[in-house]
Amino acid sequence: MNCIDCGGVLDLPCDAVVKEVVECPDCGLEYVVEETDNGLLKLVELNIKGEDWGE
Amino acid sequence: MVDIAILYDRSESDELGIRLTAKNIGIELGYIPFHKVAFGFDEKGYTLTSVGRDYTNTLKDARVVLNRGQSKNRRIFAAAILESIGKSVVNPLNVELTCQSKIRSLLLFAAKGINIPKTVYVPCNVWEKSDTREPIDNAESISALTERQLGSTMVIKPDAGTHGRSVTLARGHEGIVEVLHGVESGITNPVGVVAQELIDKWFYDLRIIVSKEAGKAPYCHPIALVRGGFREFRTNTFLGNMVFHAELPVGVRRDAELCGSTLAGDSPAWLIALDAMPRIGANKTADDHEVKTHLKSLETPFAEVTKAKMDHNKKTQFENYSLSVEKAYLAYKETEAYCLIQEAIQKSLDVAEDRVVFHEGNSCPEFWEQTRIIAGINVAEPLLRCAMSLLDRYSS
Repeated sequence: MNCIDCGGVLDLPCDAVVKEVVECPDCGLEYVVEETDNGLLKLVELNIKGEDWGE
Repeated sequence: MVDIAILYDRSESDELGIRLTAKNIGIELGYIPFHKVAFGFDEKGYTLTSVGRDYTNTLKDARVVLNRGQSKNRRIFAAAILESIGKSVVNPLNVELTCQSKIRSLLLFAAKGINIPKTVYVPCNVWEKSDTREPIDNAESISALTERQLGSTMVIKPDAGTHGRSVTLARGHEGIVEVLHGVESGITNPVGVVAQELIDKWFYDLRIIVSKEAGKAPYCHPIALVRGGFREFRTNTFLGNMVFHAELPVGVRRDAELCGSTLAGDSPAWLIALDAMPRIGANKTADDHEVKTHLKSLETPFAEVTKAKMDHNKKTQFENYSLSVEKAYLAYKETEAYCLIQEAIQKSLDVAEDRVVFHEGNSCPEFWEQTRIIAGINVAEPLLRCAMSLLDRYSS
């Protein structure tokens, strides 16, 4: 899979476990390992909101 | 070589919208991450690297950078770094710094004679530490100072804040003291209390887009996004209020352009979203009950909009997401209730042309969903035009 923000290649570690956080090596965006309905693992962007985030 | 780059810590739909718009109009946009990266510098030069990649050349090549960090403080650091290494930034550092503070923005507006809400700043924290006893409670003192200027109804808000967070309506002495007891100082709002008069805005406020390209005069977009509802005194869409559009009277557009120039100083190119509200008072152009009935009938089509925006795949299938949100908003906009409310808003705004007060400027506005679809302003386009105008300055 490619990173949503920078397009870098994301590798799911072979020993990855559910809820583990994986970072994109190219830009640092965080993903969390989740389990799909059919038991496979996938990476989903981890939602983070900072105190000073805003317009 | 890519001349224009976009910088952010994390993308939201607005940043993806800027990238999509750039692609659609044939502008190649570089990308500079600004979160888990290291900016190294000394007198000989600089580097920008992440764990797995070197962005130094991307940064060196970019002559203009669109600064779209989600964190306000990160945007300020980014603008400072970028300007120090000779980049043009949209928005520039002075715009970020001024827009970060409501008080600094309002002081500039007031000095130019722009209508603002009566504002009081007390440079004292509600709770102050003492070496000898429990924390000192200054709520009574601050309440006395603010009530003397604003009376017994006021809005207490953080100097730096967004989405209406911690903005509270306080009524009566006891109510004001109670609200003040909840005001905490912190890194974002280290000193003081901000209080303002409550503007009788009926049920809506305005989001106005004003921008300036290098070599041109400031330009206010003629249509504003209107945020409205009777839920409470705050009309932020973040709180679930609905959105409409209104054509801005010429006087309001002129004031908005002055607000933009005032916030931006002598910066050559910038884009700011202004928050403003009309003093409607008794000059309502429709009955409240009638408007509430129309708002009620809009709940179902607006729920479809909210549902479309909740799409978990929006960032991975952004174009599909954008189409489905557009479809939902357009269905909402085509309802009779929308038209009736919009008509009431327009009539009241036309009457209140000279009584629109400006509250603040936003340097990194959200726009992809509401402002773009409802007000018809794809903010990515003027942003990219600002960037292009700065490039033209280099080549001329």
